[in-house]
Amino acid sequence: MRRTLTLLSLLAIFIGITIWMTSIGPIGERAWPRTVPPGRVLAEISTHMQLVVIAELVAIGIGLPIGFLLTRKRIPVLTRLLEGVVNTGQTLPTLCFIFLFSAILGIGREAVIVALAAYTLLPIVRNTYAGIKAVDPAIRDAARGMGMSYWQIVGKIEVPLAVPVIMAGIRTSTVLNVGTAAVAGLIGVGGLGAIIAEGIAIGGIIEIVLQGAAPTAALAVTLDAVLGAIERAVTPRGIKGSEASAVA
Amino acid sequence: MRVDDRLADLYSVDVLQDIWAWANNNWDTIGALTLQHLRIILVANGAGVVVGVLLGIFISGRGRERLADLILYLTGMLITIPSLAMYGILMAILGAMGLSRIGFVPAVVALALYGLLPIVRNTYTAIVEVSPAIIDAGRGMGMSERQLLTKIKLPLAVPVIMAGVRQAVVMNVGIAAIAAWIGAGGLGQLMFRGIQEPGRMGSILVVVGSISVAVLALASDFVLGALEYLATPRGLRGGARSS
Amino acid sequence: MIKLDNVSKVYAGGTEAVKEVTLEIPKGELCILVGPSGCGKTTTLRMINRLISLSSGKIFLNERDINQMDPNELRRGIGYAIQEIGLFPHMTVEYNVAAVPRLLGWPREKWRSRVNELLELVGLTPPEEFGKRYPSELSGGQRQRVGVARCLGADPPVLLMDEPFGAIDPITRERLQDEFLRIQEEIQKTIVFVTHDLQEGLKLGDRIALMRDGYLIQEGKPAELLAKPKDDFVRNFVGTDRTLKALTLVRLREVLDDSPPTIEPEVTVSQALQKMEDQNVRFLPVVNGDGTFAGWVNRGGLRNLDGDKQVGEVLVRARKVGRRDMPVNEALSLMLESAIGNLAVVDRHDKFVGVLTFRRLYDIVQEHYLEEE
Repeated sequence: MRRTLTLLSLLAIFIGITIWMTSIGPIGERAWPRTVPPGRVLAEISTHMQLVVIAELVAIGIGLPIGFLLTRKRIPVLTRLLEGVVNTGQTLPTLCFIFLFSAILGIGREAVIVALAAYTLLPIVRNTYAGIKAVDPAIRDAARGMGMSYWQIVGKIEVPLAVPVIMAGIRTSTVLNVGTAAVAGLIGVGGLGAIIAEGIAIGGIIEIVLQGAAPTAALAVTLDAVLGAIERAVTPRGIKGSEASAVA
Repeated sequence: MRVDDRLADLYSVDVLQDIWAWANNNWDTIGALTLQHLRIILVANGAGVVVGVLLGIFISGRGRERLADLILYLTGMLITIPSLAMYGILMAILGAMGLSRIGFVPAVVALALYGLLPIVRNTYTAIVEVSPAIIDAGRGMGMSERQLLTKIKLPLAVPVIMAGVRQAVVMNVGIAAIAAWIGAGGLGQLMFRGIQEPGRMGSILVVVGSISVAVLALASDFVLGALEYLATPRGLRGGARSS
Repeated sequence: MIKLDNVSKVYAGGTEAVKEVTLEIPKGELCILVGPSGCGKTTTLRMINRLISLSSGKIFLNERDINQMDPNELRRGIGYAIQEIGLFPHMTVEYNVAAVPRLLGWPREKWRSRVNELLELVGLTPPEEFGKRYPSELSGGQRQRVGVARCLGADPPVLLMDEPFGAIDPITRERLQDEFLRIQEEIQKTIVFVTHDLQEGLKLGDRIALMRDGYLIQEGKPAELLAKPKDDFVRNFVGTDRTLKALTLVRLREVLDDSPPTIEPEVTVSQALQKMEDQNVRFLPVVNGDGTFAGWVNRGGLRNLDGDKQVGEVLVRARKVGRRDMPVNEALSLMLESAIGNLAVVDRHDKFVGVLTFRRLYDIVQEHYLEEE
């Protein structure tokens, strides 16, 4: 309850700052305008969201089946390899992904999306795998014992129990990606980072920086809250309170 | 340049040779930038560890559960703020305070704030989760609260705190690269210079910069991992934590 | 030594955990606090070293009101062992055992030798080797021994033990109990010992205090508790087999018939029959010249035999004999196993010291170990 209140009040502050910043017009004789127009902010928010959402969807689309397939057969080498790749991948800074893919694919949204998706793919595969693997063999055994078919076990037991873990991975990576996507603005791909970059570039105009920074922060916090709510919603009531997000 | 051309360019052998050649001629630059990078992280995380551990110890005290919740939530919130936004917001705040808005200071402050969550959280959790039986035994044999903290709780928490420091540092290696954008220097400079520079030279700088940052991240992960192991009392190694 | 005077504990929420308990534990005695879970026994124990504060009443340790003492100093003077042991995982066994001595500032050589002495006492030998190990490198039973050694660290006159053997497998527990009894015989501490296992209480306790819902229901020697349960709760708690439990408290030497008629193996069968006739018994123990037990002869068996044979050639060897120090429940078990129904009892040097018969056992139980109906 208190958490929700804190969250809401902080959100309100962010949104307030943003509105205030976007509503005050250019001041007098300054060579540069002190703010960018509100329409620009909205447009960049939309670009930013696109980068994050598309990357996330691509990662989920590829990551879920891979993670699922990995649980079907016991291939120790593969799973150990997966763990290694995921851990190393997570250690590498996201920034490196963006820059390297930009260098390879050319600067553009595609490169950013591919970089974000590549980075996100790893935790999603891992969490899907871990989530399904974590299902107690006794539960699976009981399900088989009561006559559930293979796909019924997958659909009614394994996936529902794994979904919270998977969602936790999606949530963490999405929040992270909001921040990483901001870097895209620095290299001219757009998104809220572009506004921040502008503000810094033209001599540190704080209002402009905040016009980019506040919505970025608000976006991250909001997505975290929303996905957190979804995560709780998809968590079967019986396993609430157990640490589903621990694997995230 | 079309994507295909660029790909072809990057995968041709001579671009790799060019990268290697450039790196070979510029080890001193790379070294200097790495040191700059490390300096930001060291100062930031040094401060972060001191503040974080003290804060973690403080909120683990009896009757401070609500405060602990709040602090953990706030530090958790800090970490969700995208780094670029954090730099921007810090520029505003530091500017208002009359401090330098670009360069070393905002970078250090941002990284210190980011590093707070893993350190505070790990310190707090490790102290709070020391098995009640161990605390009971200690108190029962007449240890004062201070002795319980210094002889039991903190030694048991050290490995967990170290894990938090490791997490904070590794994360900050990447975030520090972005600080180049606000003029703090470091390996990020190579990446930003490269991405703005067209053609092969740009690619070379981006690749060298990115790989250096990546290597730095992996290396610090490894080194701090080793430190974490060394900081773990022998009796705790191998996962046997409870009594 | 320890005196609880009208002690109560009311928790903040209003739960009354302990209600007006008055109890006195003399020096050198081991007092068991026993009762179902939630009866307040652990709370009572923890009030003695002030891990839980008293709501009302007073506790005296050597005539001193514990509330007038510094809690940490009080605790350093009282050994404390708990079921979870609570060994410090980051310290070696040596440092765990030396914890209190070190808190008290003993010089290194002094606590070192104390540690060795204690590890020796609890059977962790060689102490030099065990001292260097970490708790994670010990078995459950070994950890519990370290726990006991640790609570004896600074040689406190008083020990508080909260189910110290509770989490151990039954076989190891039994062994630890036996060793604990031996240690207690040696060190003669004043001990308050919490358990929910009556059997353990009967075995270890000089005195048993039975609690329920915060009240001290009955207190006394183990045999008293079994023989004269105060009310239905106590009767239920000790169980319908309380008489059998009482037998565990009695040693064979206390109940045996130490001057039964006996005969020697050289005696002839007809003489033996004559003796049985005279004494009006159906069995006779045969005792060798050197005092060792040879076997049994019975009237029905001898009647059909050649009267001139020697008893030594025809006696029935008993597979099982009782030992003087055996608890009577074990003796009873042997009697039920044997075909004869009588038990010959020997001492440590296998010398015959007497017999126990069903009749005698029955009479003794009736006389001493049953409440008056």
